[in-house]
Amino acid sequence: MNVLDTAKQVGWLLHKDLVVEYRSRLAWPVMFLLGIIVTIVFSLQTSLPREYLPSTASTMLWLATMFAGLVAIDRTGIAEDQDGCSVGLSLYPLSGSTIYVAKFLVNLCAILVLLGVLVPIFSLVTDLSLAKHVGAMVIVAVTGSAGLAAVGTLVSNLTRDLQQRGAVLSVLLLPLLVPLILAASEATRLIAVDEVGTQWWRWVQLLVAFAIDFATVGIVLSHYLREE
Amino acid sequence: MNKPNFAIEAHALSKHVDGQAILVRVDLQLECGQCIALMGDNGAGKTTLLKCLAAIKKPSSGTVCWFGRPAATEVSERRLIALKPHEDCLYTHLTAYENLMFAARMIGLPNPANRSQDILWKLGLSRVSDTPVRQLSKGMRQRLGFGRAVIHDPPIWLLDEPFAGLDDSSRNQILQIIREKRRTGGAICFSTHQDLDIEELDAQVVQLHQGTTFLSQPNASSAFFNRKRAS
Repeated sequence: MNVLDTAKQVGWLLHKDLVVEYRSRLAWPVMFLLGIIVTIVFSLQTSLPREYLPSTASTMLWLATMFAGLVAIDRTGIAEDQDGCSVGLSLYPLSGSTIYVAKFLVNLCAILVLLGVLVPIFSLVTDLSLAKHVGAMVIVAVTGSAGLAAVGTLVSNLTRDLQQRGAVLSVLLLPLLVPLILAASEATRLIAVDEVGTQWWRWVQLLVAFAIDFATVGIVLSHYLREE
Repeated sequence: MNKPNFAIEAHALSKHVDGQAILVRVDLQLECGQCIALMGDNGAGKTTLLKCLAAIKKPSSGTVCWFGRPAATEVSERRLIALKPHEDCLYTHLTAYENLMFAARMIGLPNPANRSQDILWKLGLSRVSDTPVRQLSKGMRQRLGFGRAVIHDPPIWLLDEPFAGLDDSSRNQILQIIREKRRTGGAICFSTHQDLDIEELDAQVVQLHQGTTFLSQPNASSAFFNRKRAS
């Protein structure tokens, strides 16, 4: 199998998952609903002095993204297990790593779209200004989402055959995501306080390293996880 | 004397799950142009054996070879086999045609659209090609699942109860396709509970009982097999 064939397979898997999600509406509507509700409830329940708003609101944004993103990650895995489709996938000439990359991209798309909805709502309800540095916010959103998708897809693969999959997924994921949430929140706070400099860049580097590390572990482990 | 070129060869295949023996030192050889029927009660290990032969279940011990080489050492070798498992393996929100196209693309067939249309026509499903799978009947799904499995027309076919839940007409269509495959040198192994399937495909019977094969008789119908066992 050459790289072009593998890229094509990833593309068709991604296409299939997005078409299935568009028609079934299995994961994304629940994800949006949860994200928006958490965002609004958080913002209504906190009345902070102006100087504390950026740090608290940034953390809330990423917590809301994490909780809602978990729903999408969990349901993406469940959808593949219905009617023996995961057995069907294992019969095609593609490696576990190829499937991991495709699922990672599907989850990344879901979380990026979620952030695309949540960030404007968050800016509106918390009066947090993120529009001054749109490029910086896009970088944080992409790297943060990539980290969340990389860990989520990996743990979703690991818990595939467990009965209490949803609960185990959350229990395993939440501790792993602590560094990501801290880094993403801090990078977002620095954007909100108009300090997009060296310190901001360090947090972004941490997000990039986190995403690359877990994506690499996911790609390597998926190769072995595919064998029953 | 030349060693026969087996399409599939399982040697001392054992599978244990949670300490329970599902397969116990099973030996099985399948040549090109040969058809084997796996028979046995529910839980005898037929599905597990087929999945081990397809290399999607890892045996606890023993080996499986495809054309003399260890099975699926490279992912590209998966093109050598078709497995129709008990499940349909179909995406219910995609249409019949889209499911076949997806399978054809995953396998890397050169002309997926033509091949998908061809399979739909052969299975009598052309008129429902644009219907979502969730709206198809059980029999239609069964046929489509069969088509998905064999879309790349590999030399080895492993079929888990391929006729279960089919009406006579659908059954005949699939029988016809399997006979044609065997005639052109395909190696076929299927599980069944029906004597008629074995007679119509003139298959060799391999009986599984508690994970062990205990009779393999060339070109035997199960009636022959039953007489033999009774004697």
